[in-house]
Amino acid sequence: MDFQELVDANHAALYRFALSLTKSEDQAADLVQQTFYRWAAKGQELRDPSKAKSWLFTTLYRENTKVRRHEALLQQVALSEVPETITEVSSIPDEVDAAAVREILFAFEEIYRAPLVLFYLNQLSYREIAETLGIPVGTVMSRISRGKARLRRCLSEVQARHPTHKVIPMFHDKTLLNEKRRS
Amino acid sequence: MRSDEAKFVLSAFRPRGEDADEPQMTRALLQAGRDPELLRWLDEAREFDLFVASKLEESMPVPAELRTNIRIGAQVGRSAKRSVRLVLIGTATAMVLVGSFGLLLPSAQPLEGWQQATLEEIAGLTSGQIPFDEKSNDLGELQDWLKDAKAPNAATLPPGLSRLGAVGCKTLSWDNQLVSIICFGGGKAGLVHLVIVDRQGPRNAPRLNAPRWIERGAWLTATWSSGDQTYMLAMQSSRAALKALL
Repeated sequence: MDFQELVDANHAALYRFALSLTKSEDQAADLVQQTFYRWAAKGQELRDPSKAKSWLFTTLYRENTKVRRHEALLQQVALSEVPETITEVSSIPDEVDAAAVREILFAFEEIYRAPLVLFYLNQLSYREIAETLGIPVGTVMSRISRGKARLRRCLSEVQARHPTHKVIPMFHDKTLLNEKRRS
Repeated sequence: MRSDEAKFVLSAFRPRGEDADEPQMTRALLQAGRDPELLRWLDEAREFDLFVASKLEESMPVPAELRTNIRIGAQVGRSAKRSVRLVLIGTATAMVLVGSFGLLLPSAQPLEGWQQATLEEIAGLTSGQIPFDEKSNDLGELQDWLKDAKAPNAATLPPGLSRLGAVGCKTLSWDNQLVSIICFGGGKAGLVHLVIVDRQGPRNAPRLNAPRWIERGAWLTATWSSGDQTYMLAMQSSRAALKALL
């Protein structure tokens, strides 16, 4: 894969990941450009071409972490209010809009936001996410699981507060909806 | 594998099924095949995940110019790398910057040698350690001075600079070539510095409407080419503030 193909295939997902990390469109664009510059300078020495995508995400994440660490902005707050293994599909909103999803995800602490966004970008496996973020596979699973539980809960709360706010059909669990209506 | 263990594993299962061949996922999926309740949970979870993925993508549009900027940035970086001399001078300049002016130079897109040298000069002008060659609030006077000095002169100015008042100008020699700096003031963000250099632009240099952005510590720079000249605008402010001047 030549450089241009690599850019075409990955720049959008990398930008979205960078945006989720920096929450700034300008900084995200800079981070993506910097990542590809590093690829142009060093990445082509990578022995296994199939690792190129993972290399790009890892490099972007490390670059951002380096800058953030320097700025002492990295948040390490735990989601103490969320139990370790919430996996039940409950309290699911049936409608919500895209801006709300982004707003909620961006409000998460980075230790949850980064694996969740990587998961939803659909580019990397959970093992590759673990490599990218430099954390064990089990931790990735735990953070994705807990992050999703929190996301569901937050989406439900948003919908409850704004039942008529720019609604988009989302989830059709008739059983759950009927249970909710009965209750 | 217990049902709760399977749910934990399947939480990381991408909804389009890309991870189905992973041994852990395979075991969890087999478990779901034997457990109707788990299977129902998985279907709902995948639907939820597909929804979130699509909404996340929808909510984060990618800038149209990003792909082009990446290509240009990489080309500029490669051309810079070719010149060992330039890198050595640049590194030495960076060390001077860090040591003398406290500018932080994190590893990032490379500044060309003339850019690093002028940033050093600009830092000196800003701190008052280096005097202007000519001080005037009249831009025309400064341009006349540069013309007399046979230094590069701005053929065209970014439109936003016309709202600011001129402060002074400075020339320096880099690699046997004169480089001009015109400083403007009056804005909320302090001094703004326009650097002009002849014949330094790469073949595919960015234009004024899509400049190449590089941040170095407190300094933000935008570089573009026009005609036979390359320009760099530098200031200690946000990109939005700098963008407003272009």
